[in-house]
Amino acid sequence: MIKLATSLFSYAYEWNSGKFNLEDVIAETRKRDLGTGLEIIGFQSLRGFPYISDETVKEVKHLLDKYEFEPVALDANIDVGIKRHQKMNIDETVEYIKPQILAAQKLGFPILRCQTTAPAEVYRKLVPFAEKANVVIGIELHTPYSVDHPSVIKMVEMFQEVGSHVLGFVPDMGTSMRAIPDALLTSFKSTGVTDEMIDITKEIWHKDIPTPQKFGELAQRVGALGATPPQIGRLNMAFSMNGRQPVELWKEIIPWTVHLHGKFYGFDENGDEPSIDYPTIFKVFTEGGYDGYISSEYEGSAFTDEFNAFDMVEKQHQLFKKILSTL
Amino acid sequence: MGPLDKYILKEDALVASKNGCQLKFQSHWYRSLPLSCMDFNLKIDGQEIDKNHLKIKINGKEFSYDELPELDKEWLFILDRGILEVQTEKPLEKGKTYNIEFKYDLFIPYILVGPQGNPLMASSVIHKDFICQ
Repeated sequence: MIKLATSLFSYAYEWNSGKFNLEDVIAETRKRDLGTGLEIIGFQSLRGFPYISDETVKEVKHLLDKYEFEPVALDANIDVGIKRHQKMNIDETVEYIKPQILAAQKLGFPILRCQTTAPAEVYRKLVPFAEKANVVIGIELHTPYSVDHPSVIKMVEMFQEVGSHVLGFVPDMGTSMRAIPDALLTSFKSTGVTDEMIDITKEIWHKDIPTPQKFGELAQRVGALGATPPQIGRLNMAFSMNGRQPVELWKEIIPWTVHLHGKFYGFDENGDEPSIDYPTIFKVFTEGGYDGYISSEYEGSAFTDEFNAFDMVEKQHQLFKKILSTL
Repeated sequence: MGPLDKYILKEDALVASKNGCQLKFQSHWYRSLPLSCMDFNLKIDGQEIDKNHLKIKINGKEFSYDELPELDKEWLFILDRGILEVQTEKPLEKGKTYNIEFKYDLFIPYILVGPQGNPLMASSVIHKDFICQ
């Protein structure tokens, strides 16, 4: 049975207000019964990350214990462009990730969420270090990194060659969506985008063409209707945030799946997520033998301040519980 | 360019100083980034401030504008505010209202875009009046 968790990423809008401390957000997550697992983003929640103090380690462990959360995943960031004009090479990237692995180990998180900004070679080199720390490297498959993406195919080949328990994937459900979310489209309208422009965006989104080509076609067609560069920039978000990989394709990598990101945008009047087919997602992963966690990841802070993120995560958990009861 | 822009400049962001003013800013991403991933442009009452007249203060340290791209180990925690120390011809007056146009660019180091794979630029502009504190 898939287990439920919450990622503190969901509360970015509330967190950045400075009105909540770490205990406040964790306590509210428990009060609303939003799962048994917790996911934390190092660079969001922890000062000094990845070089965290002993007090921070003590505090996080104390809060997990006090509010009865299992530490599920700590999120690393693979900042290869941190020098802006010069990208990290393979070895520099390896060294950048090591302290983040150690942070996961110290805090007691079994999985460190990593990103596809680093190629397979980086993770291959990190295997002995991660094995020693006993931390699983969970590479997030965030759109556009679908199962059939060349970089992901290379990762799978490397996983097969190396055969280590510390290598795995964290599929993000924003990669396999069935529609552009209405909440996202509504937020575009506040910038003066017209219904006609939105219809064109939807039509292009459904095409089986590479994403860069979609950007080009969109710029040309809505530009002809008078869309400004900032408006086109907003509409581009639909292609950069919403992947349309078929849910069934996840089957190929379920054996390597160590965690899931339950990305979501909003709900209809029945409490369903119209843009992401969660009933099918739960079915596919359950039938494939996955019994780990799925973390709620509310994307709202990127486009709307209309809703309270705690309420939104609660709605997603109601939906997940309903789906789980039918499996 | 999203809901987190709301926190970039709070009401008390503009403060008078001996040589000009200070502008207190918070990042508009969801996580901490170092100064190497940031760029700033400031206009006060429509007049652009020369970059040589800007200093950036975070974590109790002060840096010149030209140093920014190299400061990949100087992190601005997401809940902290940095300070732009601005030198103006005439110092700003406490209690007076000024029109501020603050462009705050973030270069997102883990999202690489375009044929060169450059960091995604997330740019936000705050343009409104502030009462100098």
